[in-house]
Amino acid sequence: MISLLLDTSNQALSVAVNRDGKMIAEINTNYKKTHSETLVDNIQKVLSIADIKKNHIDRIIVAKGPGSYTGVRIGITVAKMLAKQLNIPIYSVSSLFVLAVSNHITGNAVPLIDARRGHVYGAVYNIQEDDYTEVIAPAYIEFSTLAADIDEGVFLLNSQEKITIDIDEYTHVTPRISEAERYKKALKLEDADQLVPDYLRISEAERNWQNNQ
Amino acid sequence: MSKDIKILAIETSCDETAASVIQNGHEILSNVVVSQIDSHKRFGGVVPEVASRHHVEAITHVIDQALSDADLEPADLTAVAVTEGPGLIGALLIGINAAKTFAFVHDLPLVPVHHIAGHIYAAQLEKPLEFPLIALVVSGGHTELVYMKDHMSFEIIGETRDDAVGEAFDKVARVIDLPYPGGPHIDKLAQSGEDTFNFPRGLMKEDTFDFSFSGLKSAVINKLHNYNQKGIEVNKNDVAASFQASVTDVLTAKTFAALEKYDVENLIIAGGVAGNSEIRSRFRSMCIDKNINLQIPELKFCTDNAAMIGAAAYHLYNKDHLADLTLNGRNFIDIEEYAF
Repeated sequence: MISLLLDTSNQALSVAVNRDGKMIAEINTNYKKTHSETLVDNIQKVLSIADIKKNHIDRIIVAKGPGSYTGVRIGITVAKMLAKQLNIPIYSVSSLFVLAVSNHITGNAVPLIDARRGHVYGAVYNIQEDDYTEVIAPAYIEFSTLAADIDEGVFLLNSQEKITIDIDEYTHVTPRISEAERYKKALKLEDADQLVPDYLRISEAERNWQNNQ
Repeated sequence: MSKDIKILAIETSCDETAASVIQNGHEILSNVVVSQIDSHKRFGGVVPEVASRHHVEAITHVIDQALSDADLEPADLTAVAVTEGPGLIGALLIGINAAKTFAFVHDLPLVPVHHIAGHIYAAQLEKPLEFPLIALVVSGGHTELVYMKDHMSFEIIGETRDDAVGEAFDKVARVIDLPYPGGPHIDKLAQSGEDTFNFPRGLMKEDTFDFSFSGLKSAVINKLHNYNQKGIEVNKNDVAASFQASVTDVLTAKTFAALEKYDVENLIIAGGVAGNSEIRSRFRSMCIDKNINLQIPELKFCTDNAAMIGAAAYHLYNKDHLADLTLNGRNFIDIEEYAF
């Protein structure tokens, strides 16, 4: 079983080819070049490194957010198109879950994405070797509120992105999408046509409009 | 193996998700447009983030529909074309990444297309372009006079210095309480009104092919404010008719001066505002008087669509203007950069 996996939810990019759940090639970047420019090109590259022809891919696994609206949309758009045009199934996984399992931490992992104005996208997962439990589901939440709810856990954050929240101790993480596949229950089978990002927030314009109704 | 060039074109630069298959630059095998206008109405204008979200929802459906309406498989296609810009960047990126993925999976050449070139080439869906020509592009985002001496040769000879003409329509519509998008509503009211206000005609006396519509917009707003303060009931039909008359006077005067100066007999009017009935009829009758060969695409090809992108892409493909998989969207691209 060959899986092509992609995550462009935030500044870092991760594209991988797994065979039977184990990574055979992975490209990870953590710099400012836009995913719009690099994603499809990197997919071509990672397949070439793995020596896998595109029509041998059995399924797509995509990080569906939360994160940068634009970044998540690029990953989802490309993943939907791949699944449709290759006629293969597509699975989604939370971008926060990807962060939680990228550093091989066991115990409570608290992946965070800075969402500005004191807020984060965050979740808490208790990670074991091949299983996990979701302690706090992915949410857009004030960081201090989330932090107050956590007795024990490792905060995970990409130190190469702008950090505006008040946080002293954390472990640097970038997404390694190849790590997500072995946690089968984290993968959700999707309908490619219906799949949309998990933004966790409505747009500002819609929020203002709703408030005025 | 047939020699027909069949291009799948994708357009997502603003608030329409569109895909089309065009054969040999002018035969429309399919033309699918999903408009988001009903969603943006509540905001009184297009909200970029909302537009981008809708594009992701619609993109695979629209592409599927374009292929199935054309009764084609990906293997039957010659190339994939996509709007590179100008437009809303987040919106453009959906079409571009969908097009790149499609091109990658099916090993097809990728043709990046300038949105305004697309609007001009909408005319080619009806009959071949004749050169030299001048194109007046009028839409919510553009007001340009473009001189073309041949295919894919663009020289901007005039453009707006402030508001696009469609933007002026929307803003004036708002101050007389018409819903978004304002253009068609103003058009309708104007039909039972008269040009009683004699609003200013921007840059008419200056020796330039450039346009300005912000003075006109302010004049309308000030006049309404003034009437309001004095408690005078304003005749909205007359406001609409007066505004539209000013716009039409300016557009026709600048365009015919340009046709004369450049000694051109072929005129194309393109873009969403080309749907306005007064603009259409005034240009039609003036072109008959002056022996100008006028082409205004039918309404559905004036507003954003992918068929026009496929029409322009035919020439770009023939000139080997292709992009690789690193193609990115650009919110602004000078059309003169697109001259090949």
